[in-house]
Amino acid sequence: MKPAFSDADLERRRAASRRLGWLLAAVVLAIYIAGLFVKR
Amino acid sequence: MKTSTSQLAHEGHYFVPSPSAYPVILSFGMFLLALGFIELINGFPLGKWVMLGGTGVIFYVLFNWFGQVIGESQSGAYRDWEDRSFRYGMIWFIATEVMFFAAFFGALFYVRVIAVPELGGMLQANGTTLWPDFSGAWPTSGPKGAPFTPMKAWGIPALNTALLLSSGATVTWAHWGVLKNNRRQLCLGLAATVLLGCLFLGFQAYEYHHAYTEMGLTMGAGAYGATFFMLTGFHGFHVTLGTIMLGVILLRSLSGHFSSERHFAFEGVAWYWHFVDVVWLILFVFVYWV
Amino acid sequence: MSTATTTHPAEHAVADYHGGWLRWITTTNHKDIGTMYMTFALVMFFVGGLMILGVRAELFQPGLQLMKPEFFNQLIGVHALIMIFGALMPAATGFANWMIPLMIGAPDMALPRLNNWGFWLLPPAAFLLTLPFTLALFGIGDGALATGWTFYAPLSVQGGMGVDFAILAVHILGISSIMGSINIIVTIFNMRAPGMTMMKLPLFAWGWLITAFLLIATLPVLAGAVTMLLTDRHFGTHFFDAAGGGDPILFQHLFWFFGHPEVYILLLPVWGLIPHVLSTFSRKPIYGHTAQIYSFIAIGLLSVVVWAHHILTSGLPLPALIYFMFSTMAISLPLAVLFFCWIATMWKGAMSFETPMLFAIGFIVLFGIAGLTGLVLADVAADAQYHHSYFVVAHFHYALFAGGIMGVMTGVYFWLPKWTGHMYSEKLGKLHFWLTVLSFNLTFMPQFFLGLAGMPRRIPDYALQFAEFNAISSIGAFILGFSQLIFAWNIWSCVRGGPKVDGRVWEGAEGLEWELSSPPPHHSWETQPVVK
Repeated sequence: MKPAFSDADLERRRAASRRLGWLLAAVVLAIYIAGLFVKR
Repeated sequence: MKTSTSQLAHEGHYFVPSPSAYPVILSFGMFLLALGFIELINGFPLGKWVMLGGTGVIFYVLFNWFGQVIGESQSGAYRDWEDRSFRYGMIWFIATEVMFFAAFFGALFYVRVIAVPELGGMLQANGTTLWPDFSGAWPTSGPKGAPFTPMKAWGIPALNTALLLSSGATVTWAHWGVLKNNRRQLCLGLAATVLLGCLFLGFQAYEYHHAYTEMGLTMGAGAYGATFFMLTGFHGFHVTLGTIMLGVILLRSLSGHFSSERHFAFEGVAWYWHFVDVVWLILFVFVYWV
Repeated sequence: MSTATTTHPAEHAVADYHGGWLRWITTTNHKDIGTMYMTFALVMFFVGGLMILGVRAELFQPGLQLMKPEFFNQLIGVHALIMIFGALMPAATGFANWMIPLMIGAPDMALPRLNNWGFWLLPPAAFLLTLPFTLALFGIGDGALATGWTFYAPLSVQGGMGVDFAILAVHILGISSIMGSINIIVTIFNMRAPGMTMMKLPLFAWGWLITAFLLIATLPVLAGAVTMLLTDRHFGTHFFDAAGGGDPILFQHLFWFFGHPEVYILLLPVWGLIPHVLSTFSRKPIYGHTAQIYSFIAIGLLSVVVWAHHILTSGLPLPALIYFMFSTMAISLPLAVLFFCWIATMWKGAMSFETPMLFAIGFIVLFGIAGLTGLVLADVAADAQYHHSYFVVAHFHYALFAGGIMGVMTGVYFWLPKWTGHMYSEKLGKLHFWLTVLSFNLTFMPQFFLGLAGMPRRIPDYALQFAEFNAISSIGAFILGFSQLIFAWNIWSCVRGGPKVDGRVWEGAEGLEWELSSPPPHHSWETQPVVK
């Protein structure tokens, strides 16, 4: 069986996935903006 | 969907049949049929006998499997819930048949609208062509095909159209019969439908014989011959199946099966028959007429 | 059949059950049939895998080392047919058999005997497909079909006996899939628990519903196409022969009318199961349940009107090229909705990374690469360069291995404890994931570069400039192939024993299927649950 997670642990994981989400969004936005300056 | 699901709760258990060996034997029969067919077309005469064995196995299973289903139906195992499953199943089975015919109609429209005119118009389009004498007019057996006489619409085909349309009417009349619990009307309607189906097949066989022996119209007669025989041939095969199924339903009606509430087998076969009918109408228009 | 059995079938059917091997060949139970589908898929996965390892061994170095080009061609074609019809589709049907009745609160599938027939058509078909290899050893015929899985005319019209075997095998496989599809549609329409409206239907069932409709719409067309091929080969018709007014391009249209929806047939069941996994291990409800349903429907509808992007270089008129390019690209819109929903399901979730979750996340990343490279291939101008190159091979392996097979592995790890009542080895599962995902990229990433550099598909020998990338790809393929032994071992030991699990298995799992014990009782939902 899977290990049980404490409430604190679950809260920590929620925060981590929220931060990672924003980070990925920022990376995607940065790539998009960088693309605007690429000359074809 | 809402009303039907609320009904289910009151009906209790769904009929789950006991283990059955018929499916696996049927698969084995189909395997033999396929293997024998491959052997036969590749020049192994043994293939005939393998095919014969496979056909025997398939008939054995069909006879017994359907026999068991009819027995279950007569013993009252199927109620509204099961009945609905069969109805949905039959509808979607007919849908697959529609798409099977769509493939051949697609091939017909493709060669008539795209492939043949393009072959005929190569000189104008490309300035060069392998076949300067080929005009691209329909019907055609292609630039290298042998001459043939195309099938006319207003002879036997028109008669066959009338036969199938009236058979659609007689099967509906039989349906009215079963709805009124009028067994005489049911049996007479079915018998008339079977008879009309057999007449159709007889005329079709005569037409094929005529095409092969006197008109030079064979499967090898280019795009016209190929699409003509594949479409009418598969349709004829379906009429044969439908006639056999109607015959079984007639025998069951004669021995007192079906009531005004419980007659899915009749309706399923009637749907199938109407489907075959509609395919013929499309076929009559696009293969024979225009 | 006695009357007693018919009045209370559920109680008595257990007693009617045969023991031993008879149980398996006569069963009408959706769980037994699901298990047979999954086992068959796993065996075929290794058969098809061994074939392609032969191909990769030949391609390890330039020149002809191991086999004749004819045999090489047979291996690639049969590999594809086995993996698509023998491994991926049966695995998806196995999932459907096991999970749909559990998820919708049904006692079994709607048409149980038909269900058994659907499965038992598969072994004879697989036998027919591979028999020509054996026959060739005895000097009969010249081996299996050597046309690639696409059967293009006129090559397939001229091919040997192997083509006939493949045509008949495809017919039987097609009947099997159609019977499975009819059964699944009827089950979903007619067997749902009271209160489970179509919009409450689990996404896995929705994905399969659209899959089943696509199979019903397109497999008969494939059957028609190979029938025309058969009559062209043996009965003198001229469907695909210009001398008789036919056209070889007609075959390509008919084939891809089936072939493109087939991609979604392989992927929709996976898209259906991925949200369940993501939601379970993020401990959050599925994001955008309704939006995903409408995306499935949109993808299903679009998939049958875009087929000619597979034959953009076959000489279509310009308006057709433009139409098929834009309609193909339009599919990326509903697909983007799916990607968004998958990511949004994980966002702000309390994520934990058990094996199914790792596979699900690996699926999203790698399948994303498949989607993006697919957009490139849909572009008419770019496709003139990429068509029939290794770029295409890499693209569809990202779609069908990383998308299809890894999706199936996600489902297997997710549901195996439910099916067996035992937990698999998490350690081996994670090892299997990392070996798979790394060696997969090692195998197929170089093939993008090979394709861009101009290496064509389906050749046993190649120019010296392609040697390094091919060597890397072959090494990756062998690691990938042998890593799957861990998968098989993990499944085997989980079936044999292991720590017991309770009905819910995963603490974040939601849905009717987790309310039953693990393994579930013989007749899944003896009395239908009521969904609020």
